[in-house]
Amino acid sequence: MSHAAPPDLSTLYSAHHGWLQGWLRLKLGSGADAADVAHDTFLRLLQRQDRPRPQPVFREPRAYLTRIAQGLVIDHYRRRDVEHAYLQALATLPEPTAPSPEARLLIIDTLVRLDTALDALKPRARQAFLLAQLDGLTGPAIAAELNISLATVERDLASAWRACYRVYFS
Amino acid sequence: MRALAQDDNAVEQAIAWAVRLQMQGPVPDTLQALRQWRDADASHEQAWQRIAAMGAQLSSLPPEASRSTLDASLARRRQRRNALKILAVTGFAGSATWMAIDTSNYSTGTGQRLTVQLDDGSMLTLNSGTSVNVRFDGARRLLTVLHGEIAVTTGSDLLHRPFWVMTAEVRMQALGTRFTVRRLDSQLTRLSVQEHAVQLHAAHGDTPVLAQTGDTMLTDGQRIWRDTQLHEDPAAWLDGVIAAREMPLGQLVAELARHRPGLLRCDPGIAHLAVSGVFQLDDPERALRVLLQTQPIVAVYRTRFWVTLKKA
Repeated sequence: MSHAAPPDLSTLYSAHHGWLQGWLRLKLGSGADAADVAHDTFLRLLQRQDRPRPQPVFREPRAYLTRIAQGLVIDHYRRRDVEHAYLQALATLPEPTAPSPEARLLIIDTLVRLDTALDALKPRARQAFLLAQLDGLTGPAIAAELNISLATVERDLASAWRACYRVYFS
Repeated sequence: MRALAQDDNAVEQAIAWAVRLQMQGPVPDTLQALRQWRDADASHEQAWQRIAAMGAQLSSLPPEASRSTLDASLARRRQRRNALKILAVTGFAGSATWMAIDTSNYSTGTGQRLTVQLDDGSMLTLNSGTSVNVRFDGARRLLTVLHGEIAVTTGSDLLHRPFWVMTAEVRMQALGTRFTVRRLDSQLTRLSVQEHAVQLHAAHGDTPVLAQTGDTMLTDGQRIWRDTQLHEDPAAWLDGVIAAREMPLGQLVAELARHRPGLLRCDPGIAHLAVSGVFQLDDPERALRVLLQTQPIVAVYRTRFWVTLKKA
């Protein structure tokens, strides 16, 4: 069992935190966002500490930190896009009832994940999965809608589930 | 692209079942065949639980708003991809870290405290001299306290997995809440609830007990009872202090000793003295000085770190 916060991490923090935040400020164009993402990067690092896999972090700290930070930058943009688009959709679409703030948050979280998963798919598979999952269409209806065979629909749906599974459980 | 989890085969099959249900709709024959497949092997059931949890969450999305959100998000991303070329460098496989199946160990030495945010957003704080194992999987969130003391503020989990804390004596289920759990030296676990409720199941007991805001419960693995001899605020250490109310000096010294390297002892002749006050955990030497000034006691130093308190 190892300590979750060995002195090395604080050394790393004081040596590279300022640099990372500067790098992020250039990328994100906002000091506050850069501070958030830099903070999350070190938090991620802290959470990874006790995993058994080898830690390249102390060999090439800046390369490793930027790799984590890049992933977080993408998450950051994605979340912002999804949140923005969802609020826009709420404003323009006649949904039966306006969801509560908590329900909204849950929906946005789920949409962010789904959005991440769908990114790995071909446009056709993305369409097929949305028709099945959001609209409740069965195989033959999807095949007719997209003008593809049943076997293709089946393959597309399976690849979409795999992509979702990776986002949720990898 | 990252590989699927360990039990690839069961997951692949569970996905095939989900696809079949989508292709045909929930046909009774299919549902029954699925039931049989799930019952055939524990790995099948586990894989299905994960797929079903995702499916349930995705099914709760409002169709219209979701489609327009996803389309708009995709369009914006394409725009940005062209404009900034940020995304071309990294790819997406590495960023899907929202819900890792994760096992980690956290521990603190004497005088250390540590706060970590868990994958579901829950906050876990370890008091001095604590060791805890964290395991989140598709079905539940589980913390195991090996020794020491933790404080937990549970986050609301997207998958609605139950949150459990275990010690050798007891299993406790958090019901949307803030609480502290301490393993006392003598095979006892103490639970204090600061917000909402926690349900206790003693390791060898039968009826679960519900502890609510303000409750402090003890259990030895057989029985569960209310702690009526509480001389401190059980959550005060989160603010870096011991808040003592008429606490026997012996107990206070034991508390300070948890946070101070070396040996700190108290002569049995003065252990009963009642002490009230707020003592800083990060400065046990100062707490000692305060005790020496306010109580009829003296400190005998063998070395700087080996101190015994005696009657003046």
